[in-house]
Amino acid sequence: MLPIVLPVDTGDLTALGPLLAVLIAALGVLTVDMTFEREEARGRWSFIVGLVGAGLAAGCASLWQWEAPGRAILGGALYADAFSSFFDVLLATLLGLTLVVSWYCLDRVKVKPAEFTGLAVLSFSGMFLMVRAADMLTLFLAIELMSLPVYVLAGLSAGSKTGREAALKYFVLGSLASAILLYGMALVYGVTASLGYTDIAGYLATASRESGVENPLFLAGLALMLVGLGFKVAAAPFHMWTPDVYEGAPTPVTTLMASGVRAAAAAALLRFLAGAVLLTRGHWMMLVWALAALSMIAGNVGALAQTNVKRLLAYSGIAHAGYMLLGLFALPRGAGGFSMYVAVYALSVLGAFGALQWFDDRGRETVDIEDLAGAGKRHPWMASVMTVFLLSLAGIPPTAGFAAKWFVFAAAVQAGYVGLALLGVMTSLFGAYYYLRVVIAMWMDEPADISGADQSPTTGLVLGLLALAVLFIGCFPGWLWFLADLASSKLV
Amino acid sequence: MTPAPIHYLVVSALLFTTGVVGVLTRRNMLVILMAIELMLNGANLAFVAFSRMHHQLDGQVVSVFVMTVAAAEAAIGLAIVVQLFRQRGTVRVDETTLLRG
Amino acid sequence: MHFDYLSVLVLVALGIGNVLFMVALPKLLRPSKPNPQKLVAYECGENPVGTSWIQYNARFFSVALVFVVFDVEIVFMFPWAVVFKSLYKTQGCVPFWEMFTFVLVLLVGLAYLWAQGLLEWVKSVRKA
Repeated sequence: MLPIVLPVDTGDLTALGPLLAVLIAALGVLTVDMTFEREEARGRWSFIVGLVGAGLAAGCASLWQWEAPGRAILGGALYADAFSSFFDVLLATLLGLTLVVSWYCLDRVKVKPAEFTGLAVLSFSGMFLMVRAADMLTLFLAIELMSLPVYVLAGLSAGSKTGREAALKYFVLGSLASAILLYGMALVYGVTASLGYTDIAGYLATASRESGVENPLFLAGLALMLVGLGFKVAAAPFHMWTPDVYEGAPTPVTTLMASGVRAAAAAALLRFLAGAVLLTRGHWMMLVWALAALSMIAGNVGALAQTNVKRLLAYSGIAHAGYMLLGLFALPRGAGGFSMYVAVYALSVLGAFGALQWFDDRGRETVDIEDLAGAGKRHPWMASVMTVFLLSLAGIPPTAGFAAKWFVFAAAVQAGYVGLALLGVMTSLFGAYYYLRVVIAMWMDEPADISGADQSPTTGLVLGLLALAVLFIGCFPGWLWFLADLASSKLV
Repeated sequence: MTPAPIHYLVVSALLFTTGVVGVLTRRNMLVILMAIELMLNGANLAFVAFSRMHHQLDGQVVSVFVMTVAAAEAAIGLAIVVQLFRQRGTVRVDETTLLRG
Repeated sequence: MHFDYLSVLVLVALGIGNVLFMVALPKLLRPSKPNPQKLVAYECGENPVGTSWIQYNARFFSVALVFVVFDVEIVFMFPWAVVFKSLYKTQGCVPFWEMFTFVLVLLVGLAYLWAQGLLEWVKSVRKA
């Protein structure tokens, strides 16, 4: 029974700080958009409000006592623990960076800044809710709160031919996935008689095998839920929408989809699998194994043939979903690797798309590899930054991507999944080829007509700092690993 | 004869399956939207039936939330369809082929 | 046990029968002298123009969308109103402020729509 009396105390409200900061910022952006007369002022002030919200969220989250034991708040709807704080800091960073790197590109892709900021902040408030969801209802609501603004964002560009089509595709397939997820939740609820993760785990621990983990209804529900969540993290075989939507949506929106949405969905997936259904390992592990292997193969093979950089990054994202899932095989140790991988991937891919926006002087939907040819000669500074992000995505040593891959693969090997880890290593070697193709085009080929009109120093500076951070994490990965492990190992 | 929970579950499964088939086979965007609503309502019915079966309120609470989400989703879906229609003059998904996967 | 729904069936039959009876009786009793003025849809209103299969103004559409979204939110207020009295005894004003916050969020959304001019029947283009 839901408790009729809602426990609300101030301690709960402090734990909710980051979420509230972003929610209030979303309302603030709406208010700002109504208040100012001039389009320009509306854009600028909503941008500032969004950034302040992100800053407050990051501040609140880092105040969390990381050693404190996690607890459920608001009648068991949300968790307040180190895991949510870890992802709060990550998401707040991603929100701030997304707003900053997209700022100058919005004009070129004909998206109103105030609308972009409002919807982005609203979507991020869904993500903040998602990483702390403690029951299936909250998870569903958070996923919808995150997705609905992104559907709109994808089609927001005025005069874009492909944007609306991308929005349509994303909407239809996204709603399909949400409905499948919901039906899976209904079946899981039917078997376990509870919505909360802890209660589900408790039921599975005490019930007999036939009525619990081997109940066909339960397994069917779990499979349906994995389909729904797999869609959100773009794991194969539920990845078909990714290249089309990433290509068709305006690049600022693609940046948000590839970093924030993926990170939050991955966090929610880990929390659900580790918190609610870990006890059934023997059964769902098969499903996750298949998801991971298929994603690594489909993503890397798909990316080989691409000439469009956005599609290439979309396919590489599918492969990265596979590498992330590797971390799930070595729970509880692998959880830290998983979280670290999510953080590193989100930052690197955000940087790559940010640099792509910087280069894309005409706000086109598509940027081909040839368009970047010779970028190293014209804009050596930005080309080096882009190179760092691509190398990080490829997992080449002095970058963060390598460190993250190392922790994940090592955890999988230790847990005895040598075959899958080998597959991961081989496919990522394979994958290095297509990233290097872009790098070679930038540094070796003759200059193309793309000029990189965005000479805004702010964007360049922020992306440069992000590239430095990626290199720094690559050289000294220990602290991030420590934090990720601290945050995630208590989930199980 | 009083219907048992299993009857509701069969109906909900039928609704859900009809919805899935509708989304996957129909080409008219408006019909697809309706099919998505069918799926959500199938899940709703399952939640309420299970809720009754377990003598709890949780499932009913879920269905209330899902109804509002479904309304928001329908509004956004229709808005996207209208925008696309203004641009292309069609609501058929097989005629939107600029992006190929 | 199979007769549980018999009363419903009887009610449905009575309803249909009643309607048929009410339509049939005047048909039998009244004199029939039609003329064009009598046959129009609204005898005392405006004369209808064209067929009923017309395209509705697209304005209906956006208003309907907005209506659907806001209309559904009332579903949260009914359960709240039902338990409010018992909650008030234990929780004081907290439940009130919770619903207040919820409505406030909705109000911001409504105000946004208003500011965007979506509530105007003839949309005024906002100064850029």
